[in-house]
Amino acid sequence: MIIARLVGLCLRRRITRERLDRALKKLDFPGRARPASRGGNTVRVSCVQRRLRLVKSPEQYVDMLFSFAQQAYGQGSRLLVFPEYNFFDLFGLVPGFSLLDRFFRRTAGGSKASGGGKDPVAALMANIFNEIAAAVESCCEIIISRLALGFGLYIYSGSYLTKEGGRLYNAGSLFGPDGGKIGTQKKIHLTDFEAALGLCPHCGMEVYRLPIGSVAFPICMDATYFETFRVARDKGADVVILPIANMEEYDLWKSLRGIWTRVQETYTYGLKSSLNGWIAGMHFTGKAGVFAPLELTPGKDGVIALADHWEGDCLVTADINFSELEEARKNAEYYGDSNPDFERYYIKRAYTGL
Amino acid sequence: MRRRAEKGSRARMKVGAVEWLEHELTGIGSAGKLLELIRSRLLKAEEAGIGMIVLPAFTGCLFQLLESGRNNLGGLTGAAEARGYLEKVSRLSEGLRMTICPGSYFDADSQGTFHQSCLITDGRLLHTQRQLYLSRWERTLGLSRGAEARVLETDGWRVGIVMPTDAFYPQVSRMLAMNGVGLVLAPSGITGPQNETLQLCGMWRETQLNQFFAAESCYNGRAGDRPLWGESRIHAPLGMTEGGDGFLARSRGSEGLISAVLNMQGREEAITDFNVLRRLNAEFYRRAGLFGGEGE
Repeated sequence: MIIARLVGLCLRRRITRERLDRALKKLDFPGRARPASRGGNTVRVSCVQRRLRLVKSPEQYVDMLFSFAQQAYGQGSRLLVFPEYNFFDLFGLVPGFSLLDRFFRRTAGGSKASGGGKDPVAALMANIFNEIAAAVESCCEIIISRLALGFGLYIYSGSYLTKEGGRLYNAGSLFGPDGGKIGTQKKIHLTDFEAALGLCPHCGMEVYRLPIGSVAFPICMDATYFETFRVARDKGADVVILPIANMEEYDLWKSLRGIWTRVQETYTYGLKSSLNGWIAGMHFTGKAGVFAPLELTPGKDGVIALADHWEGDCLVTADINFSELEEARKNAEYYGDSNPDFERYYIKRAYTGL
Repeated sequence: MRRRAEKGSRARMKVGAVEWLEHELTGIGSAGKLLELIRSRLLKAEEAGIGMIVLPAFTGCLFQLLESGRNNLGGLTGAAEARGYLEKVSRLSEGLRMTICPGSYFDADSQGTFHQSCLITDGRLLHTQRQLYLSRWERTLGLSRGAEARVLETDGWRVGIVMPTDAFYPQVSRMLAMNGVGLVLAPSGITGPQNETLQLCGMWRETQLNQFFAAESCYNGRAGDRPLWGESRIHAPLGMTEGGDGFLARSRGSEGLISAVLNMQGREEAITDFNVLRRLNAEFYRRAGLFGGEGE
């Protein structure tokens, strides 16, 4: 508990509003903020894949996020998507974190299993997450808001921690080109490890109708469940943003269980951003990508663009087109049917007892 | 969570999936010849010790077309009579020590024409399943939809049938999984441009989404006017398969019968570390009005 409090105190002291403002003021934003529209119903989007780096200063963290926004702007994107747990780098601000990291690495093996309530790593991380949540949330929102305004982009913040009514959530927010927050989505389906950390699952989802399309932004594990994307589509989503930080070695077949299949079921575009690298004995891997129904992709494989490797930094950029999406929905062989007699009692018959 | 335990499960069972290869169906000119083909596969399966077998979708439709002299599936709607095909398969099943899913057929009654399948063992009809969702071309035929995903307990296994189009509607497999199904039989035949990736979006995806076993049996060739394709496969959760790819067996377009031994205990162990159904969020589904809301 003392360690957690010290970590919290340290982050709060080093990440102040004033310091972030000073760092943001030094950035070289373009004179003309908004990237050119692609015309018609086409929108260019960029998904970040990045390696986790423990930063030595808040300025270094700001610069790192800025460089991705600058690239996306330079490539003409209107939407930029950062990954899940986009704040992990900030642990580098904690003096002596390398010692803590070593402790985590030594004991993390057992922490990946479920039932980590008694696990020392899970217990410590739970306390740390609670202590740092407010500082992390504020830091991410200040930076992303300014980047969105400075480049005239829609930017999904990546996920961070947020506390509400004493409950801790994994959440991310979308900011508009005016720097304003459009909305926040908390994670709906947790991993066993997150549950062991005391994170809470959220029970709601909003879809936002924007000039760049109707957008929902669930988080990582949410894509393992068809129900998430079904709800998003029923609420009108054409684009589903999905930040990930997969705590496992990369495996193609495992990766196919997520957003790629969900996009095929729901005839939406899927934008995946990914965090990779090591922290606290945990290894994160994953490829950023832009996905679409098979018939809308050049190789008929559901992939518009994909990172070459599951580790390292890159920006995956692609165009998505809503007229083509609508056309594909109309012509789809295995999509779009409904069965009111079967669906009427679906929730009760399928999920009662959970 | 409720996911019903499979009481008294026979821990292991060998399942088989037939594949119709295009050249086998090309020359078939009569229902009798088709039955001969089915019989030869069933005998081969019995020899291999298979306890449960699935035939490709539309096999019964082909029988119905050959018997009626019609040459398009649309001609069967409104007039399809399943009894003839089921009687013949029932007769073939007599004395065989296996449960047979004889593929799919059209069945008309006062409520409409349904795309349907069933399970037969030793001359007895055990179970039927109507297709719940229709593909675009099935909608143009005017087919009707069933209303429930049914579960059969046989030989200690809880079994369900996922019809060809239902494999692309994840709510069907989820319903079966939530009602304790450990093995799905999937008579299959995909229409449209041949694309292996599309097939992954069917039973492979459903298996990984629900972590049951599935035996998928595919039809290659024409059923009347409808060209169909697919590779027969036996699916399992990724962690149970040698290549980590979810396939226990594949026909690769060259085998008319594939089989695999399913190990229920192995499955339980394989999904311990990653149990998808453990983290379902029913409260979210209720609040979000999934499929229209609360239900009965």
